[in-house]
Amino acid sequence: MPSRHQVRDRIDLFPTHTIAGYGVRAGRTLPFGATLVPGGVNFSVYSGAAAGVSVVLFAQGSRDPMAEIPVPDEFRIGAVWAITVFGLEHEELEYGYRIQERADARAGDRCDRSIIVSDPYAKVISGRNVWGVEPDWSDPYQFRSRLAFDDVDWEGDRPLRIPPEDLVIYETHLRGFTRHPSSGVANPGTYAGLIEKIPYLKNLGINCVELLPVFEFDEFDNSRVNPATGERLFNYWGYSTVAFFAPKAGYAATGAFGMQCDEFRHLVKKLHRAGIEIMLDVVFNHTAEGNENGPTISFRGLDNNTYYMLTPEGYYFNFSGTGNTFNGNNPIVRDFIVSGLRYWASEYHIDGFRFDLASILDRDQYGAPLANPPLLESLANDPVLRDCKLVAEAWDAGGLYQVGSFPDYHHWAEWNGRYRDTVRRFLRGDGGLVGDLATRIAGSADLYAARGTRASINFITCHDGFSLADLVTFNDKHNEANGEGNNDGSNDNNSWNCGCEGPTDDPEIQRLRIRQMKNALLILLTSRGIPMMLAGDEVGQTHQGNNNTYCHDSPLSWFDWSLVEHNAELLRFAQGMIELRRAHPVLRSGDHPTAFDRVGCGHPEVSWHGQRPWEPDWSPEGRLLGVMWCGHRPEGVRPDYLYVAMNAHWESHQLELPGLPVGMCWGVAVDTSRPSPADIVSPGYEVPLAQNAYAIAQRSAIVLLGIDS
Amino acid sequence: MGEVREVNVKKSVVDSVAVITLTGDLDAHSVELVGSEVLSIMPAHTEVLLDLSEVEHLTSAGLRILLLLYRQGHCLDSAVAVVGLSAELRNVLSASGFLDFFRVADSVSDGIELLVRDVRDDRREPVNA
Repeated sequence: MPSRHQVRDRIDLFPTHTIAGYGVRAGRTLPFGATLVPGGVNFSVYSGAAAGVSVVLFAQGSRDPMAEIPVPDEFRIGAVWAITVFGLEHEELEYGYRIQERADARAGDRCDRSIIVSDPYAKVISGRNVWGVEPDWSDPYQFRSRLAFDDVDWEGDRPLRIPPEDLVIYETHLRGFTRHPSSGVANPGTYAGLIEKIPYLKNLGINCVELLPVFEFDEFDNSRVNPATGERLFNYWGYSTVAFFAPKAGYAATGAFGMQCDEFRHLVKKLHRAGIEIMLDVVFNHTAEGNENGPTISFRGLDNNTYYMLTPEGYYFNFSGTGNTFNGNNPIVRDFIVSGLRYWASEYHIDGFRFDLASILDRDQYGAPLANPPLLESLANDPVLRDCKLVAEAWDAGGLYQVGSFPDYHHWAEWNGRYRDTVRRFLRGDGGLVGDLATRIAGSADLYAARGTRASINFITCHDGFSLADLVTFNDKHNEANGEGNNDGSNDNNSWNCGCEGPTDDPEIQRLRIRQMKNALLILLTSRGIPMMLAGDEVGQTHQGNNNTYCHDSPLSWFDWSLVEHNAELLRFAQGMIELRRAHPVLRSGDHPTAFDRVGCGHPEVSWHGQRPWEPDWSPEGRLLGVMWCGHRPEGVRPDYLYVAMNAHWESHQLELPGLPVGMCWGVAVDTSRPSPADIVSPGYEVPLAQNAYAIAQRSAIVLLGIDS
Repeated sequence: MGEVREVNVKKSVVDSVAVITLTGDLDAHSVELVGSEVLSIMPAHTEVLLDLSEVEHLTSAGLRILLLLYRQGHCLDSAVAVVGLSAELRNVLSASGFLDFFRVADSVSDGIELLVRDVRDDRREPVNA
């Protein structure tokens, strides 16, 4: 029989000391950060570089502290300074730490008692509560730590655990997705705004939203202006984290009220109810503190030697290209990163993480690649993160390129840069790529043989680089508006403008561009591996040839919702291709295909073809590839036959098709050369072919299905 | 800790519905008072209408006490509705997801009618239950 629960007072409810007018007692060392405890708040912070630590308390919004409480050295355990302060109104409290430098400071230590630093474990940050509102630059404490309520009514929500191979990832910018006036949402550019667009995402058919960084960052962390207009430029993308445990307040309609945590959780719940996972782009390779000339916000003021990779002289290694490099394989920093991701997985029900410049996480504290990087192993085997997708951008700015060789520990997937480059080059008509294209379409077994197709995040476009529309509209980047003399962004775009640089009234070129975009979507969504598409590509969103829009909080970057109507043809095609992928499990297997007959149909699981069946053209002049997939249908026992052909040649070709069993024929499901709506038909409306042949148009792609004749 | 605007709690009974009018700020300072006042009423009145039209400021703590009252009411088989949400307050509640939990009426008379009708129709489940 269960005993009756009885609440009793705790024996540690009472202060043992009074400091600065507040009752305090020795704090709990763990957990780090500020934690609500009965009657007070427990503060715990690590600093191995400090001679002393003070907790600095502010009434919300007040420039000057209301109290400063030195942590008695007797409260320190190891290098952790912990104190419980009683009688605080935690909802209206802002806090930070003042760090006293040691007399015997090491090279690289940057403690500065004149600066108040933010708590690395802060769950809420105030100071940038409403996007774009000019901060009070004279305020010496810009990013103020706050406490968050951790009581949540999840209403039964939990991470969705969709099998990785079944995902269709949709990469988007939280603000940019609904900021455009055409979005029509009540709260543009916010978590709440995205909720209003969930029906659109459902209708499109994607089942995973990947958000560019949403950890608190400073949108004002950019001093450039647009040279053409004089407009201020921002850190719009947010790849420069200020606080790793705090959702960006400026992305919340309720940020001014400090409710960004609630609003973000509401978004997660709504996405999950719609069957859509949420993946976060996380940036653990560097922080917003920059190099020697950057601001002291938190880490460098606490313990610079611990949190950053430093040269023996105390300068910052710069493998991130942004000034500093986070020291992820230091045990203390590793624990910090693991704790942060556990927090997001458990307290926000995040389904997965994409790691920006993840190869940095493979380096030791001097920058050398590790054979067995403990951080990556810890994340891959963490009990809380077991079901989370972990995706690496498997390169860094220091030249470490690990696509296909990133230490995966049977968990990590990678952004497959090889897939992007091969498909782009094939699409623009480069010869000699048919063999490589076949490898990419089949899940890149050359890169991930032991890991399966789940390791390959296939993408043709992402936030970094041209959008799909720009990929078929521009040969060269046009980044002048970034204020860097067009020197930023990649020069290696593998794009083709279809005959005219930029927008044109030429209807032939316009039609070709639409077709090329459809070709790209068709290849992406019929490839094994996990497809990822960039938000807006489904409606032909342009960035006007700018392949590095990190600084533009403007229509140049924002999703233009008028395109949903204007480019309805392309949207319909993207919807149809996602639906087709969902209907044919053979396209989504987590294993690489084999040359064996897996379903007893007389054909191998995958086979390659050219103008004549079973005769692929692997030659340097080859620009056409046919692939036949044979697998199980989701229902029934009859095998599923798909034939996909991609012709990047500027001439049409007559295809002889592989034979089908008696009683079946090929039916045309997709032909990108046909005008809409004949370009893609609804399931069951495939057009049967009377002959076992098909004329594939120049620069087009087709999908044929085996149907009853 | 900033200017404190005390919350005032006023109670009345209309058509057997307990109408609780809150005036001031609903925040960390006031949640204890509001919670105890409303909870003391619930066992005696199965229908409670929270009038927030005079609430000037609502914080995360304030939202939580509203939700707590709503949940408590559900456990006690009491119907709870809110009325008098300003446009700003409604937007905050909506964006943060709290609005999904509440029955909301536009006026006190509408709220009373809603609760009385709920009792009559025996439809007291919260919207998201």
